[in-house]
Amino acid sequence: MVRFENVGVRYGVGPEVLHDITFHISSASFHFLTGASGAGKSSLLKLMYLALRPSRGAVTLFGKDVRNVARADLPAIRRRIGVVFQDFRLLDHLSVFDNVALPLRLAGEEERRIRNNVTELLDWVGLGDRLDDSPSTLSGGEQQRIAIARAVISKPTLLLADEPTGNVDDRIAHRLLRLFEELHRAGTAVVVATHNDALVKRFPHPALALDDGGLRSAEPPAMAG
Amino acid sequence: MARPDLIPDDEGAGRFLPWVVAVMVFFAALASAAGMSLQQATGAWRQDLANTLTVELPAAGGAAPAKLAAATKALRETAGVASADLLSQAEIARLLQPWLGGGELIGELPLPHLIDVRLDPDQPADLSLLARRLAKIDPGLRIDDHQLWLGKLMRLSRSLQWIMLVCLVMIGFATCAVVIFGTRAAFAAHQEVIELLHLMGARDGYIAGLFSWRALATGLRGGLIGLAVTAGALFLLSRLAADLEGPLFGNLSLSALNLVSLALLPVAAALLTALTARGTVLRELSRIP
Ligand SMILES: Nc1ncnc2c1ncn2[C@@H]1O[C@H](COP(=O)(O)OP(=O)(O)O)[C@@H](O)[C@H]1O
Ligand SMILES: [Mg+2]
Repeated sequence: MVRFENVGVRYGVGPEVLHDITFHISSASFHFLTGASGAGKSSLLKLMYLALRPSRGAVTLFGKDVRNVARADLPAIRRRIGVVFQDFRLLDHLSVFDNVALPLRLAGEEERRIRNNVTELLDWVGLGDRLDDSPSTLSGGEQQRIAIARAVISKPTLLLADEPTGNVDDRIAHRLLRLFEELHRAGTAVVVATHNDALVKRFPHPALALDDGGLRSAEPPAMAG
Repeated sequence: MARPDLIPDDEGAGRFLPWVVAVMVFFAALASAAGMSLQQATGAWRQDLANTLTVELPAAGGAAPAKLAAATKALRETAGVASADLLSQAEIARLLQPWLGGGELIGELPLPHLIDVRLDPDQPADLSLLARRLAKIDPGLRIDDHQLWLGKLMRLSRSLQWIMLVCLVMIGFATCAVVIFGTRAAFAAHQEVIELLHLMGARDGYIAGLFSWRALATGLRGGLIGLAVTAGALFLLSRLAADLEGPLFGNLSLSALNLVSLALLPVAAALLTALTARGTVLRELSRIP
């Protein structure tokens, strides 16, 4: 599903922030992406959601080398990927409902189904009574749930979450991870970037460990130390 | 439920655009109206003058009325001449009045003698035969078929029309430049929203559409304002021109077709605005990988 081969990334003329990255993620898997702040987790996720192109090496998504994909075919690939951004990126000029409905509208879904699906999902994450509010009036934790709802509303094949537990206490972090696991069981491949090692240890999923721009290992949970 | 505006409709950068388009449409409409009415008028002038001649005997010639009578008779007997009428001095004075005023001056000037000749449009007259016959009566008799004057008038009118066309093109360029500038500013102001839509799999054409539909509405709104102002200005001008009643200005008018093309200017402006906005956004988007 996702394959990196000898990938290196630099921003502009700066040093390589990622180097010699090689790994493979199969469909319907669940991975953590760990590493200290500045290790390159966000950059790696950006490569996966096509916000960034490698300066060398090959990134393959859904069996296609992204270097060889025509610009016109990229949107279709992007729609199969749900992203929970580190800074949420909610649109304050839209209501909570319209924020979550966005991916469905871009996919050309019909309004009636959008209404049903979005209402149902927002009920499920406990924000069913905030449909018409602006995200800016909600707490950090609530905004995070909207960001997650938006990422999963279109049932993506690949879900990428960048520090989704960064702003919440441990109890909520746990619940969020349970939610991701549920999606994973429904067939979505999940990658969760986090620098919270304690959290990683509590869930039995393999971790891609980044250290200063290089991949240390793709350790199975049993060996995680 | 109405679909939300994905790009916020900020009143900042976009606010002045309808007014710019209004001004552009106003200028474009004035230039077009001037060009079209000139074209209309030159056609009318040509028509008016095509079937007329003037035979002139200079005042200085000390002409005998007998010569004029003979000339008139010769003209009437020439094939292709529909009518030939000697103008009285009073009539000539009246014709000159718009140019020289109605005062003493006309009475004091030595006025030429003029014979107004109408040609039969269905039967071309032999002008050289006519010239020979008149020369026999008096070598001073001169035929003026207005071609020289008409030619100059046509050249002038055509140059003016070209200038109007160049004006129109320049107004179009200026409008495009303003739209490009405004769209780039809006694009930069909403970079984050655009990037998000892009990452969620919005097609370039879809994002460009968010801008171009709004630009279409803006262009149309501005265009209609500009057209309304133009209508007022043209109405005023036509009232003033009607007061003149001169032989030239009487022909300055617009046909129904001309008016329709003026009314289409706001549509053209809206399309130009929308397409320019679309092109600008597509160009900006191509920089995002
Ligand atoms: N847009 C950028 N331009 C230049 N350098 C960047 C940019 N984004 C990240 N970096 C650099 O890349 C490195 C990795 O950053 P990042 O991928 O955000 O790491 P993490 O998410 O693990 O904290 C850091 O040194 C950071 O300064
Ligand atoms: Mg990060």
